[in-house]
Amino acid sequence: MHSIEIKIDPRTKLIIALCLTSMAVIVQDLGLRFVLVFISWFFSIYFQSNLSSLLKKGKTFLRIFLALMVIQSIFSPSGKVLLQWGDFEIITTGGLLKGLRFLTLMTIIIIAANIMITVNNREMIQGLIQLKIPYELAFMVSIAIRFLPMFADEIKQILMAIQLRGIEINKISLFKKVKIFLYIFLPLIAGMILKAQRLSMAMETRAFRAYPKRTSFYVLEMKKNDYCLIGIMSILTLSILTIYFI
Amino acid sequence: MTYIHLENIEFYYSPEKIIFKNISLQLKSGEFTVMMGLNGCGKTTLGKLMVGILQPVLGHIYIGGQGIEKYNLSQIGIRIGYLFQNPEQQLFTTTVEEELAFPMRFRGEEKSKIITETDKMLELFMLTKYRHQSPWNLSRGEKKRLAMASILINRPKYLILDEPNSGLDTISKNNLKNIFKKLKEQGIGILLITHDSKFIEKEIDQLITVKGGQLIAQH
Repeated sequence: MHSIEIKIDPRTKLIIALCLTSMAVIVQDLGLRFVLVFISWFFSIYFQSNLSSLLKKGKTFLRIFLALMVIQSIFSPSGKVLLQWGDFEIITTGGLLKGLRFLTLMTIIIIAANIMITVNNREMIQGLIQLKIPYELAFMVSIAIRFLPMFADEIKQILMAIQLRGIEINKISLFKKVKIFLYIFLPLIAGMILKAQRLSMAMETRAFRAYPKRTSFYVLEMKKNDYCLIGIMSILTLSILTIYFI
Repeated sequence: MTYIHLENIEFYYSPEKIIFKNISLQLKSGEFTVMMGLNGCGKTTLGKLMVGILQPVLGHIYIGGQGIEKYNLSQIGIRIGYLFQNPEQQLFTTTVEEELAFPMRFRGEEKSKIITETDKMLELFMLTKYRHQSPWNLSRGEKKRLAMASILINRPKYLILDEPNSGLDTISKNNLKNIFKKLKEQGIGILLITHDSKFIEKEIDQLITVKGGQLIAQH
């Protein structure tokens, strides 16, 4: 048996990502959410995850944040009015808080996902197996992760194919644009189902699950670093939850 | 008359592996061109460059005398019909009939024209009996025929077809040959990317072989 030469065990990253995302969902206090963003950012840098993609997505999230802030302020106004147009309350402190809550939640989730992307497929499956998760489930998780970029690529291809049929997406009415999205999702979903069917068939032909027991050529081993990181994360999780609930 | 003109094109996905270096090519209206080459030599890449799906690193591409950068994808799509290697990438609707009609509907064309054009294409590509079926229930060969019909309904001036004959039976290949002849007579230029050109040998005006990032053209 050989052990994989990697700095941090994928199980450690998985535990840290789980703690961060769970806390992001449980903790509603904005101050603590910002602390969580800082902690996530720290771990992300430590694990050398690619943060440039997060910065690229920043603009999109900023737009959603602004939209949410205005929608919340108009439809469920609370707190002080910060901006008013006639009788309409455009921005209230309540709306601003709700928008910021969404922004911090999404930031933490994306950073956690970025941390998990630093783990390769093989390590991920092995990590899950050693966490006593059945191989079939671990394999499904890795396949799902593999399918995500393919999904994005497929949308791009379909959009191109639609445009090559002579349809100027930028120039058509909103109603027609909505219809175009139906045309995108039909081949996308049908294609994904077909791909999944082909993949399962290919796996069966290669004798997947032919034997009830599996052995692993590679085995992951936790090191000092891993125990330290899990320890730090546990202390941080307990502290933040204690501060939040007490 | 030259319809597609590639001038000193260089293209690569990564600088370490250059696919085309300084290639030039002219494709004429009403001419039938066949492009052949080994797997992975860049035939499909070249086709995608001609319709603007990919952009060259160096060089210029002209469509009907105008630089390709002047057009967006949909404007190119009206001028050049492009058949993807995998027909499933260009089928979007729930029925065969709708597949042909939807670009015209989006452009707001008259209902009577849409019906006439759709019927014509269904007949030409032997798909009339499948008109109410889902495109996803068709065989691969039938899907190819449908995808081809759906690009031809735009009446493009040039066609780039990426392996339209793969997976087709003898009857379908003969039918395809007859369609190519008719299109050529109408002055439509065709670039056929294929591994098997035997079925259409007599109609070929220009044969291009892609080898080692270079093009060898024979008339």
